[in-house]
Amino acid sequence: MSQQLWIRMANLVFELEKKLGDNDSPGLKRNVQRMKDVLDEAGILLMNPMGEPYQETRTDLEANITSPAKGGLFVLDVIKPVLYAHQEQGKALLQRGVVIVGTRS
Amino acid sequence: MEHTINFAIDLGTTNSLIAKGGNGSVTIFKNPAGMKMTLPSVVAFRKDRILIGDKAREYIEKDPSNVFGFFKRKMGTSETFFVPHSGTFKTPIELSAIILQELKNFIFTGETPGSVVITIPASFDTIQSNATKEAGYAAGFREVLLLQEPIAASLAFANKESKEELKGQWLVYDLGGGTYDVALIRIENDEMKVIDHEGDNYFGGVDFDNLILSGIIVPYLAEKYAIEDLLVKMRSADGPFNKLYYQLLYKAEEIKIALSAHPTAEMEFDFTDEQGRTSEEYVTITRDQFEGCIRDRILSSITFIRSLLERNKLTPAAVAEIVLVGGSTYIPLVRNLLTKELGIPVNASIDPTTAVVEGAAWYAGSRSSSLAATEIERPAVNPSPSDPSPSTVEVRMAYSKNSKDNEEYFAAAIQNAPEGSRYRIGRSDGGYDSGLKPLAPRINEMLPLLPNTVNVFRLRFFDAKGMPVAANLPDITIVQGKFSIHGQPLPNDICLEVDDTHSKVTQLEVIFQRNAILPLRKTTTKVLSRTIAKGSDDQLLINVLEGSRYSAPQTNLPIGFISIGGKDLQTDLIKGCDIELTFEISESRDITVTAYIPMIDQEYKEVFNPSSRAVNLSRLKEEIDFLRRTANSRLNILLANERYEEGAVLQQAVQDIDAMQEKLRSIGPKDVTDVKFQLDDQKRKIAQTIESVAKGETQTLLREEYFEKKEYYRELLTASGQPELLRKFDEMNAQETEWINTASTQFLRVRIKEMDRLVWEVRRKDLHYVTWLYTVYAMKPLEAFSNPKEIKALRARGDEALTRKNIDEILTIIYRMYDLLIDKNDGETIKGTGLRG
Repeated sequence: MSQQLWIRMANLVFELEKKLGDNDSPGLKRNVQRMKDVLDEAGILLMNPMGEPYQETRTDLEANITSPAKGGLFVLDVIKPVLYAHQEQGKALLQRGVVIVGTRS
Repeated sequence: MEHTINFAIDLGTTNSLIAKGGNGSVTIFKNPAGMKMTLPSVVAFRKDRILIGDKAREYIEKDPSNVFGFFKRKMGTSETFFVPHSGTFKTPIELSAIILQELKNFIFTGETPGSVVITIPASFDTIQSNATKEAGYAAGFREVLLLQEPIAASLAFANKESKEELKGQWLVYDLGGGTYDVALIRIENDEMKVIDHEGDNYFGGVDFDNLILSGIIVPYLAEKYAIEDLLVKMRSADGPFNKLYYQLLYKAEEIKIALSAHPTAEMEFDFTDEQGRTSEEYVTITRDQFEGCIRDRILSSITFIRSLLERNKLTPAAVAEIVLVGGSTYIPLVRNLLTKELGIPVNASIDPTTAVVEGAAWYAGSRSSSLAATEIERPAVNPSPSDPSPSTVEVRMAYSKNSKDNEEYFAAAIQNAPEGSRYRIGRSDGGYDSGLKPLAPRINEMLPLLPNTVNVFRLRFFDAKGMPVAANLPDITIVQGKFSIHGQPLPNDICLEVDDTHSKVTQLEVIFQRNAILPLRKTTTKVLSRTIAKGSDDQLLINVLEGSRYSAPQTNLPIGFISIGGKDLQTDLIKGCDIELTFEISESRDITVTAYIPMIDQEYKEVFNPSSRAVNLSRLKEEIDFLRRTANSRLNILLANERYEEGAVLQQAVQDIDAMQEKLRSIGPKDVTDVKFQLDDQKRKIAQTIESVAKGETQTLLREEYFEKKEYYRELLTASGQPELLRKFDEMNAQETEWINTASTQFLRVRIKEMDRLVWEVRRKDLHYVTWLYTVYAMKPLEAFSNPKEIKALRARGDEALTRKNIDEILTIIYRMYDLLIDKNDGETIKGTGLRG
C-alpha cells in the first residue's frame, strides 16, 4: 500500500477515535489501538497534540490562533493529527497537525 | 568551459519556491521542516526570534504589526515597515532577502549557489525589478538574473510538450492563493515578450474557501439552529464561534479540492449551538452549489482578459491558447468558463503550482553564468581579513544526552562570533525549528523531544547579513524515553514460534531485536493456521523463545508460553480467525504475553519471570518426535554417502532421543519434579548437535542452492515483466547478509522454499515448465501413488490436456497427482503452533 494511502488511513483512525470521544467500551478502544498498531507496523507514528502547550517553534503543527497571541497558548482542537514516518535514519515529519490554538478558558 | 546558473526562485506575493535545472531535468526543493515545496512569503518578528514562512503566517492576523506578508507589492517603493518588537524598520528588500535566504536552506544537496534566476511579475517596472535584484544580492547571491513570471510559466509548458518552436500569441492566466494576473505573450524577432498584462491583487483561492462558508455552510447552520448573524459571530475574534470559523475554513479548502475531482463532497464537523448543545453535522455539497458561489468571481477575472484583448485590438480567435498557472486553476469551472466565454483552448498540461519555478529552472539550466566556476557554488563563508575567521568561533555545549521528559534544556557558551550574528536550532525530523535568534555569549533553549526516539538537533550560525557562518559543530543528540541510562539491552532476539504452513515446519519471527533497550512492548495480529475444535486435545500455542531468529526453534530457549487447548474452549476456533498478541518485557525482564481472540471475545494473559521456567509437556513431546524424524532422515543420507563419522554422532543423538521419549512417558501432566526442565535442556542440546552435524557440507550445499536459485529466479522475474513480484523478491532477500553465514539449515530451507513459492506465480503460467512438471509426476511408478487406478485416468486426461496446451487443466491434474503421492518427502515436519507466520 502506498504511503499516501497509509496517511489517509491514519487520518481516518484519528477521526474515528475523536468521534468515539468518552465512549469507554473496551472493545472499541482495543480496535482503535489495533489500528494504531497496524499503522505503527506500516512505519507511521500517529500523534494527537490535543491539550498540549503551543509554541511557535513547533513546526509539526499548522496552527490557527483564535485568541490574541499572548500568554500561554494551548491546542484547543485538532483537525488533523501529526504523522511521522519511521525511517532507517530516524523519524521524519510526514504530515503537520492542523490545530486550533488559543488560551484556556 | 561554460557554466550554467541552474538555480531559480519564484519569489511570489503569497508563496515562494526554489528549484534547480540543468541536464534536461528540474528538481524542486522541499522545506526540510514539513516537506512542503512552497514557502509562504511571510516574515514574523516575534519577541525573541524571527519566524519565516508557515509559522510566520500563523500570526498574520493575531499580531499584524510584527508580521509582514505581501511586501512584494511594495518592492521599489520607499515604504518601510516598523517592527514594534525590535523597534527597527525593515524595507521590502530586506524582507524579500530573508525569504530568499530561507529558500536557500531548502537545498538539501549542500550546494550554496552564487548565481540565481529570480522571477518577477509582468507588471514590475525598472525600479521594482532592480529592487528584486538588490534583494537577491542582499541574500548573498553575486549574480541575479530576472525573468518575468508569465514567460517562465510559458517555458515550463513549452518544455513539457517538447515544443520546438512556440508560435503566435497566448495568454498566461495565473490565479494563485491570493493574487490574480493575466498576461499576453507573443514571440517577436525570436524573443518571447510580455505584450500586456492585467491583474487583481486581492483575488485568489482563499476567496473561494470563504465563499463556501458564506454561501453554503453558514446559511445552512443559521437556518437549522436559528442563529442570527452567524457569519459575523464566527469572524468575531472573541466570539463563541471563532474556533469553528477556523475549523470550517480549513475544511472548506478540503471541500474545494475534493470538488475538483468529484461531483459531491461531504463536510463533517461537530456544531455546538448557542444553548451549548453539540450535534454531529454532515453537509453534502455538490459541485453545482460550489460553482454557483464562485461563478461571478471567475467571470469577473474573465472581464480582465476581455479588456486586455480589447486594448490590444485582438479577438479571442487570435489567441492560440490559455496557459493555466496557480493552484486555483485546478477548479473545473475556471477551465470551463475560460473555454466557454472566450472560445480559447486551455492548456493545463503542467502542475500549475510549480509552473513558474519550473520554467525559471529550465531557463537557469540553459543560461551561462558570468561567475567563475569556483564562484558559482562556493563555500558558505568567505571571511574578510577584518572578520574573525569562522574557525575561531568557539562553542561549548551542555545538555543531557538522555531524557525521560518531553523537552530538555540546552545551553551553549559562544566566543568569537561575528557581531550581529544569529543562531537557529532545528530538529532533523522537521518537527521543531527555533527560528532565527540573536546570538549572545550564552544561549539556551528548551528542546522538545519526540517520544522513544533518538532526537537529533542541528545548531547553525548566521552573520548579520543572514549568511551562514561555518562552524564545525557536532549534532545535538538526545535520547528520549525508553533509551534511558537505566535501560539495559536485550542480549538475544526474543522470537515467536510460528507455522510455515507450506513447508510444514515452524520458524521464528522476531518480536524484539537483540540490543533493543528495555522496557519493550509490541502488539501484532496473527491468523490461526488450523481449526482448533472445542473439546479436542489440540492446542493453540503461543511460544516465546530467546535466541537468534535465524536458528531452528528447537535450539532456542523457551521463556514463556500460553497454551489454549480445545478443552478450554466454549466454541471451535476457526482457521483464519485473528489472534491479537501483545508482548511486554519490563526492565527487570518480566515477560507478559497477552492473547486476545476477537472471535470469542476472550483474553488470555500470562506473566513469566526469568527465575521460573515453564515447559509445555505436549509441545516438548512433539518437538522430540520431530527431532527424531529429522535425525533419522539425515542419518540415512550420511550413511548412504559413507560419512560414517558424522553418522555416528547422529546415531548417538537418536539413542539419546529414544531415552528421552522413555522418560517423557513417565511424566504426568502435574509433575512437580525438575525432569521436564532437564528434558527441555537436553532437547535443545540435541537440536544443536543435529544442526552442527548438518553444518558444514549440508549448509554449504544449501547456500549454493540458495544463491543459484536466487540468481536464476531473479532473471525469470525480471523477464516476466511483473515489477511487483520482483520487488517482493528483492525485499525477501534484503537482510541476506545478516543471516547467510550463520542461519540454521532449517532457516535456509524455509528461505529457499519461500523463493520457490514466489517464482511459482510466474512458472505456473509457463506452458513449458508446467508440461515438464506434469511429465515428472506422470513418469513416477504407479506404486508411488495411493490410488493407481485414479492415476491412470489422470494420465489419460493429462495427455489430452497437453495436446490442447491448456495450462489450467494440466495444473489441476498435477495438483491431484501430488495429493495422491504417498511419499511427499515431508518426514521433517512438525505439528505447528496454530499461528500462521
